[in-house]
Amino acid sequence: MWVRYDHVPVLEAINLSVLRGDYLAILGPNGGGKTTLLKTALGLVAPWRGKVTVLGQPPAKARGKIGYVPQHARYDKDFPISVWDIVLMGRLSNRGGMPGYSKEDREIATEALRAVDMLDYRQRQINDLSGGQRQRVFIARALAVRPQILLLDEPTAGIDMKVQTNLYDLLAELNRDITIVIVTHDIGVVSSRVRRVACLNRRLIIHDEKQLTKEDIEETYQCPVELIAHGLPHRVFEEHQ
Amino acid sequence: MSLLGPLAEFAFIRNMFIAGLLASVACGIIGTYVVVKRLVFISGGIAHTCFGGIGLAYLLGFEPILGAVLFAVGTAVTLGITSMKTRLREDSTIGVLWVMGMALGILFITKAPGIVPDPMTILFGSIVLVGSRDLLFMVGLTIAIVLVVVCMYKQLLAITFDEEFAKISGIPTGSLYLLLLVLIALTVVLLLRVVGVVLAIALLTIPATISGLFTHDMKRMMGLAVVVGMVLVTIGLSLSVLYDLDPGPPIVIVSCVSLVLALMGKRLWSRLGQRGVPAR
Repeated sequence: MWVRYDHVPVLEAINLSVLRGDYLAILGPNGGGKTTLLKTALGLVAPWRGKVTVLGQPPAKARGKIGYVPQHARYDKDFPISVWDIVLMGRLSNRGGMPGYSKEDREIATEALRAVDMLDYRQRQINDLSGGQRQRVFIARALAVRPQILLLDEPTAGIDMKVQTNLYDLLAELNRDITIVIVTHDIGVVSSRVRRVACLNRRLIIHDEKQLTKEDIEETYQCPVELIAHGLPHRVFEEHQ
Repeated sequence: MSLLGPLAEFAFIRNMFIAGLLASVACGIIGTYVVVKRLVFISGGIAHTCFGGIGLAYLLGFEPILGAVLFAVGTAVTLGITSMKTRLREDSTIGVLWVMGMALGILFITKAPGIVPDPMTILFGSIVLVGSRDLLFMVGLTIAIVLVVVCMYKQLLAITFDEEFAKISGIPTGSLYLLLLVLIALTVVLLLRVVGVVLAIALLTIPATISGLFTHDMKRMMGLAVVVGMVLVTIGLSLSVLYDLDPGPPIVIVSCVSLVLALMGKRLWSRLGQRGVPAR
């Protein structure tokens, strides 16, 4: 699959299959096409060449089955909206054009907030929350869709290490029922919970079994990198051969 | 005014107040969207093109308010479509339509046959007679605007907060954005009677801005903005009756002063609040 913006190639020769129950992390530098790749799966960006299918359907048809957690930097922090209203938004497509939300919608939203441990904060305004809490709210909104697939764009940006670990624990738990794809530019954050890792900088290199070599990362980031990793559980890659 | 006699004068002042209070309802609700979605400039453009529509109405001899509706809605749709379908910068398009509307307005009015009002009164509002037919039209329009917002509340909230997510949820975001712009256009038309073309933007933004200082809930912000708008319009209109002024300027000045007072009041309040918290 290829994507171009104004004749500038953004994604080239992408060949990626994500299987049910997978937990894939896609790493790559800023501007490497990570968000674009997610957007093709959501049907927001059309491929220039090639094809994208989600659950055997064109992406636009599968939208109700995908939960999307966008980059949080995009939001207007002063927007007058409560946590509860944001999470309910996950139920938007449920009742067609009917006004309001049903009792079932409210129950699902409550459940989603409980799953991310944010139920007590439901009346809060989004601005009153820390970065980690806010991220949980947007995960709850994605869960309220009742998705089979969860796509997360830079979920750990601007969040400190401890909160990141909690977030990854949460994702690992969700991964028992839901297929997860996460993209990030921060190679340091890939948790040992991830099943597969891929590197993306216009082209995609997939690594099964979490094996990531220094060469792969250098290829992706186009510069020499020094890999620094602690031992388990924050291991990034296996020993070099 | 004395020519009208005390009874007629009373009826006309009463109608003026009813029109002002009615306009405050749509203003508070739609103004909240304008403020949170940062559509102030686009609303300004829509308001100013109304001048062209009113001019056209005088030139061709039909109801001025219909000319205003025609141009306001036409501008809203044109702006919406060009910003979605072309790569023109939205604010440039707004600027172009804005001056085009003004130029056409002046041109049409100078060439219009028969008795035409002073352009100043269209631009800044005037103590024109608000007849019961106008009031009926305003009531109908207000009810329509409120109904649309009530029915489409969750969709409008979704596109103003996160358009992309709304789209993924299968919501026709493009049409909804157009709908929002048309709602703004109709609200602007409601305001023309009260404050005129240039000052309409004040009532669309100031009540909602003041209300936004005190609440972080969209529905409450709308409700409070309606109340604030009604108070501001009442004070402004009273001043205009007392001192024999056109209604637009006193309403706008009262609104601006109130906004400054509200900002200062909020600061003072939070300072006092902080002092109340014991030092750790």
